Amino acid sequence: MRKVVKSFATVALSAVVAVSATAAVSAAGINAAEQSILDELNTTIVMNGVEKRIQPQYVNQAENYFNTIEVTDEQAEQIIAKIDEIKTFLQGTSATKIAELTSEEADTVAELAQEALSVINLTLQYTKSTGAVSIVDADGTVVFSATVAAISGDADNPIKVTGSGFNIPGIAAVGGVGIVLVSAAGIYLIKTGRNKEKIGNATA
Amino acid sequence: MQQHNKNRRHSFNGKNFVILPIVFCAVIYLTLFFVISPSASSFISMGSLFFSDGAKDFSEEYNNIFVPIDENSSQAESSDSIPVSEITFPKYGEQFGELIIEDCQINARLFFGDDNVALNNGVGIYNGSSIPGYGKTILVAGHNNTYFNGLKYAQVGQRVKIRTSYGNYYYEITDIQIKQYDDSSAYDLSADSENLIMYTCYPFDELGLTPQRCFVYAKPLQDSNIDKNK
Repeated sequence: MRKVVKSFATVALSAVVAVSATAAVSAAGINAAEQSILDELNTTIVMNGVEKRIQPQYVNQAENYFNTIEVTDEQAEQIIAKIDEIKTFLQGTSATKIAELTSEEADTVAELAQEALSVINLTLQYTKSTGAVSIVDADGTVVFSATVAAISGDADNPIKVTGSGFNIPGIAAVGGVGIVLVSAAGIYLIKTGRNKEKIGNATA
Repeated sequence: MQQHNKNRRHSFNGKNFVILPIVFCAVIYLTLFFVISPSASSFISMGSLFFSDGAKDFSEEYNNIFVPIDENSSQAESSDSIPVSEITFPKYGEQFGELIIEDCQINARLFFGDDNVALNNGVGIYNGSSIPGYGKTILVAGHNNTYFNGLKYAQVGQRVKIRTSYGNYYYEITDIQIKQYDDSSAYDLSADSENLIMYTCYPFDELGLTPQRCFVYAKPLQDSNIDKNK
């Protein structure tokens, strides 16, 4: 199960990783090279007869990242070539969706993504406990984020938990102090009672 | 007399003065909790919080790139064109502005990204959406017990102000809807026109996790002043 989940994350991130394969320099806005990559991302892919498209929030994350860097034409060509390579590979499988890829197929896509990552100094992070998947730059800044659950479901849910948050260590601390106080009060009463007994005995 | 002392010794043991008070406190606490808790769903959701294996980040550190501009300057009203090359696009987790709804008593720091650090210190824009002035959907999250508690006072026609380092942007609330958290019809992240969506958990004063969200929609009151060709 873990291997399958890991595969989901790896494959789904590959296209975005390839897109982000750029050297970061100061920049703002989307140039022609970056736009060509975004256009490529917005195209569909047919997996065993089923049409697939990258979710808009993932493309938006790529676009937002492009607003912070400058991609050259040469880099764009390399990135688009990498995207095409991943697409071609996926179209050659018998899977109709990412979840159906075998572990070997997922590993192949992961290798392609890793090649891109090693060039641009971006790092793929995956936290098993939370299912969180992210790509960070050399400074540790998040470039891409998603959850395995969202990726596996073919649709991301960007709506966060915005209810009351609970500080579990804080609750535990307050509870602990309460128990100590109650215990101290109990012990005090016991000792007080025994002292009264002694006084009572002495009086008797 | 001996019997009397025996009874007194028995009455001051640990059971009566340590264990029973603790049990009493626990029972009272649970009773109050059930009475105060508005619904069983809150209890269930709170339980899910306690038993969640997800790590919670209580860090309060973040980078602030927000430099308020002079309210009296022309740039402040977003009337003059700004070359996109002059804008510092925020990185994930950075505070880059403020969100203000005076009618709702909301004045919160605005972050790019909506992780725990952002939502503990203000309201956060989902990084899969966009930021003001770029002509796309802006999806903003905030906690219902802190910075977005004031959304319960939101009404159609009220003004929303977003201050950034590159200009001030004004929006008008057009709609308020209560929807399930997983209702994807609540937003359109592929929209090619600017629209502001603010949301928080609903009901506003409910404890624990709730499956519903209050979505407040707003439209821009000005055209984008960002020149994307420069």
